[in-house]
Amino acid sequence: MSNISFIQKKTAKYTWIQNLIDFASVLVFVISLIIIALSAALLLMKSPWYGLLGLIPLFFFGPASVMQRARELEQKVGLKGEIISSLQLAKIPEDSKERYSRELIQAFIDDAAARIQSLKLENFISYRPLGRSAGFLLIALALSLIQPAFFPGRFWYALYHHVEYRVSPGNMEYPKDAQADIALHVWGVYTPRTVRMILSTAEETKRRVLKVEDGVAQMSVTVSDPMVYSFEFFEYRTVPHELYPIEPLYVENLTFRLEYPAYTKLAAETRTGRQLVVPYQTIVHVQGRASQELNEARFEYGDTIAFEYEGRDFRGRFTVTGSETALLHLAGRSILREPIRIYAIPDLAPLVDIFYPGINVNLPYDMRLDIGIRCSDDYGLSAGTFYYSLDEEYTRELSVNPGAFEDTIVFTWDLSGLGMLPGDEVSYHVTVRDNSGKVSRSTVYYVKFPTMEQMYEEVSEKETMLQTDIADMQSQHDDQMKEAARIQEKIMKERDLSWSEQEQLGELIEKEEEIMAKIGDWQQELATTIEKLKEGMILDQESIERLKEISRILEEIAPEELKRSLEDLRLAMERKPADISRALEQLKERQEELARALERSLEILKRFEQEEKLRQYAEKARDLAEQQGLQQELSGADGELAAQKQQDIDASMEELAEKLNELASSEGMEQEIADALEQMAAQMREMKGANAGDKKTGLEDMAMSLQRLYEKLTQGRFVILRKNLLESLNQVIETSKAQEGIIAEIDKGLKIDPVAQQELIRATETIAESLFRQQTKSRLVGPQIGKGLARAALRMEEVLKAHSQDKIDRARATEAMKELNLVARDILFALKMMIEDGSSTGMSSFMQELANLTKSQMMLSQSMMNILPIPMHGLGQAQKVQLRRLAARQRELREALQSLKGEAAAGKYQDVLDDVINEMQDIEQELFQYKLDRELIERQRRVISKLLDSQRSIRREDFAQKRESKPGQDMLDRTRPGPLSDELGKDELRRLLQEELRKPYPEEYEVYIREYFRALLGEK
Amino acid sequence: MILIFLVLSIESRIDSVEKAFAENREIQTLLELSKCYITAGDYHKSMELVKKHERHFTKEIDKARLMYESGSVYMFAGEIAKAHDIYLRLIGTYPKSDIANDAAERLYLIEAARDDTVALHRLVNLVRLFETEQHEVAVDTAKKMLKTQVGAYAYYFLALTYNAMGDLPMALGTLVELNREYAQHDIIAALLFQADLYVTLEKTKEARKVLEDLIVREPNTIYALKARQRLKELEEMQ
Repeated sequence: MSNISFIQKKTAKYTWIQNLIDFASVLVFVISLIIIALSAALLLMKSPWYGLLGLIPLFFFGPASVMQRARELEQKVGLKGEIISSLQLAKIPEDSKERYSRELIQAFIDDAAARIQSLKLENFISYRPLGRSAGFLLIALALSLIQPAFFPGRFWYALYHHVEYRVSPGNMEYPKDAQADIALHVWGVYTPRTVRMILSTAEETKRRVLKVEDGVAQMSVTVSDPMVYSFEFFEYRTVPHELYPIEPLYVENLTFRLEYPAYTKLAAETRTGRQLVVPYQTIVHVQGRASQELNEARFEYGDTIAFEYEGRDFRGRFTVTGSETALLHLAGRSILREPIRIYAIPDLAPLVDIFYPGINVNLPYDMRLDIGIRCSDDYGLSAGTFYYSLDEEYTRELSVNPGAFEDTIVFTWDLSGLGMLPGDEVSYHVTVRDNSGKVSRSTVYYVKFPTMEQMYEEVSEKETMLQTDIADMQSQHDDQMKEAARIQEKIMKERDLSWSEQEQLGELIEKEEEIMAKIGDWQQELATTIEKLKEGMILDQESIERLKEISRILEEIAPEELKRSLEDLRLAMERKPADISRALEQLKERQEELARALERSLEILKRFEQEEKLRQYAEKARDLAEQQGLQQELSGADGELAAQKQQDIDASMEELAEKLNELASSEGMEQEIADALEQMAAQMREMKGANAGDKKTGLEDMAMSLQRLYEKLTQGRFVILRKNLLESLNQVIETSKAQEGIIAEIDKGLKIDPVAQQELIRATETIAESLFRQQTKSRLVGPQIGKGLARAALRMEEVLKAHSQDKIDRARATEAMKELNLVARDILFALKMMIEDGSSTGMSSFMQELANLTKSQMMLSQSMMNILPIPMHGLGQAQKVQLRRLAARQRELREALQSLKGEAAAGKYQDVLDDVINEMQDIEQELFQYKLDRELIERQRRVISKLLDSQRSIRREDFAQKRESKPGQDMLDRTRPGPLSDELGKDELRRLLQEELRKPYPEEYEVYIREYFRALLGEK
Repeated sequence: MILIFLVLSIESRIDSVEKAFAENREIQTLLELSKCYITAGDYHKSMELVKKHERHFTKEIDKARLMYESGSVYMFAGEIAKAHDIYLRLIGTYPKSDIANDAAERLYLIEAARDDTVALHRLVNLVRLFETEQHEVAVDTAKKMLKTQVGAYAYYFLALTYNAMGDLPMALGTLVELNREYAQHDIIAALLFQADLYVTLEKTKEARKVLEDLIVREPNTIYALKARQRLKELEEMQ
């Protein structure tokens, strides 16, 4: 082998080995790089394919050429280009232009070959690149293990790259401007800590990083416009979803056409709104338009009613059967449940009230009663009927305005055709029917034809009740006085008032005001009773005067000063204790005055009661006598009935005897009268054993005696009172004159005689004491008289006091005289009033006589009616006897009327009285002739009617002069002031309800008004 | 004859007082003139006189006096109700004046006798006669009234008239008869007057008895006071 080949072979071998090592190094290096790239990719959650990046160096690797290796070797061996040159020279062709010497070349090559001959190439092979690559590989491997070691989840995710997720709400429609919660739910071996949300609207795209908490990344957005949203995390990007705002479904137009039930008589009408206040059974046609195309429409009102729909329109109908909130259910792109309030108005029963007279009344003197009826209904009235019954029921159709909501009917009811007699009672009431056929009935009232006895009893009962009430008031007032005194004492001691005592003081004021109010109520009550008596069939002037008197007493009881003091105290309670104390001091005085007034009133009332009872008993005896007479007449015809009647009369006599004894033992009754009463009671009892005839006579005598006794009692009291007053007046005048004498002495420059002045004080006190006793006997002797005397005595004491200080007080002395003179004047006024009340013009006695005559005529008429019907076989002997008696009685009445006609007071009524007398005479004759027929009955009625007319015309004149105008007031028939009856209250509420509903007000209030009144009615 | 004399004398007196009043319009003269008219029974003139001149007198005391006079004219003219009203008004308007007491006395008299209107008118006439000093006529009138319902007052005024005439025994006798005929009468002034007459007639024992009886009958009253005062005066006299 040539040297050159040796060189070449050697060089080639070196090149091959070295290149192989280099290649192996590169390969190891590439593997390292792959590992690093892969780890980096996994770390960065990138695809593992990124590991291929490590191959890149491989592409740049190229094996070194022989020449390069030769040169490398030369350097390693320390040659100076021998190998390279040898290799180059060996390549020079022989026929090269330069003509190098072959030998030389060979030589050179030989030399070079020799040089390398001994060289061991293994020694010059470099393994360093391979070592470095291996080291690098180790590092790469170490790095690649860090992630799986410390973040295995991330590592495995990086390897697997899979996360489960869900987007909510996905594609969704929302009401416009509603808030929507967008969320991404992720789960898997590894989940991101944040995700990116991409929200796009037509105008812009927003990106926001959302934190993932518990596997959820969420955000709220307002859906005003359509929007698309998606999420990005790791390499994931969710599918875009859409949020779409939708307009709400609403009713653009809703109308209710109402077809009212027939009874309302209301025309059909159309309403809008969401509330219906309609009568029961109203048919409602609903029509409307929704804001969206509809795919469902129904109405939930008790049951579910399907409505028709087409496009956006819907329609349907239902009938109102109750009050509730119905639901209009519509469905389109969205759903609507529209509440509709439905109030079903019940048809109330009509209301009817007899507002005038509105109380039970006595038969008016003209037998004609004005009736005022007020009726109303919520949907209109149709008819009304007036019912009245005495022995049988009668009806009278009322002219109610058909269809009217309210009507007032006033008519005059003529009761003369009923043939009422004393003691009879007619009941009456009204019914009204409304359009739906509901009927209501008014309260039943009565028209009473009272007997004198009943009238007296009524007045007496009133007096007794008033007495009881005043006694109660007195007791209550005493308590209040004590309480006021206690509180005042406390203020004086402690100069303070606790809260509870202030409360007690408030209560005290209220209670005192209650007393005042009660007195006021009684005044009104008495005024009503007086009016009732005046309107009555039989005029009882005495009772009227007596009630007036009591009314005046009540007026005096309630002094304005006490009311003012109570008001002052009320005001003072808001100030300092000192002010309260002062107010209490003032109140004390007023309270004492009231206490005295109450005591005095009670005493006066007791006296009145005695008088009234006596009068009542006289009337009772008279009535018993008449009954006894009737019994006698009956005894011939019906023995059993007569016996029963006799028994009743005897029982009444016993009762009357007891009452007489009671009256005799009543407190303050004059001894003489009491004795007489006891004697009469004893006679009454004895009389029970007598025969019927004697009994009748005895009772008549008894009635007269009692009447006389009554007159004696009243007159006696009147005379005694007058005498006492005159005596007091005389003393006052004398005292005043004596005081005048003292003043005269002063005027003369002399000193007064203190003893005389002292005596005058004592004399004044004596007069005061005497007058105080009179105060309890008459209203006319008022407390002002006592006060005047007290002032006079006080002035006199002041004069004395001035004298003791060596002074002369003429002014006080004159004041004393002035007070005495004023007292004298007051007594004179009292005397004047007594006279006026006592006799007046004489008209009242004429009236009384006329009333008595009328009453007797009525009694006679009643007796005549008792004979009817006449038996078929004609009048029996007993009946003839009875008719003769009646004729005789009629004659007596005629003669009495003739005598009355002669009185001055009859004056211009002569013609009327003549007519009556003539009629009476005719009746008398017919009775004597036993002509008991219809004509006679009619004639009787005419007589009574004419007598009543006379009374009425005379009384009207009397009223015109005496009656005072008074404001309208309720004339409630109650025995004492009290609350409205429950029934009345309820009707009143109903009336108010109906009234209110007729007023103009916003329709929506109707239901509240109705509910309110219904609640009130419910409470009632 | 007496009447003719009286008429003639009153006519001349009226003339002279009218002249005096024309010259000097004083209240006293006016009242005197009114009294003359009343005496003559010419109430209309008297009333005219009072009404015509009442506005000229502005003093309260004069006004009260004229009011009283006015009441008196009505009373004597028989219009008792009017007189009553005027007297009442007088007391209410001028309660401090002395004349109010007189008005109250008049009213008392009216009240005490008003049960019988005719008798009351006669009594009023008697008062008029007494006050206008027509004593003889007053005595005759009173004597005719002794048995009427106002008999007690007739006795009393008869006694007053006798007293005014200076016939004290007759006056006393009249009062004694009053007490006998009307033992229950309540004219206390008559008893006091009786006592006064006894005193004047120097019958102090009787006077004392009357007064002491009065004190026993009406203790603690103004009458007892007056009786005691008179008793005291009696003691002082003795």
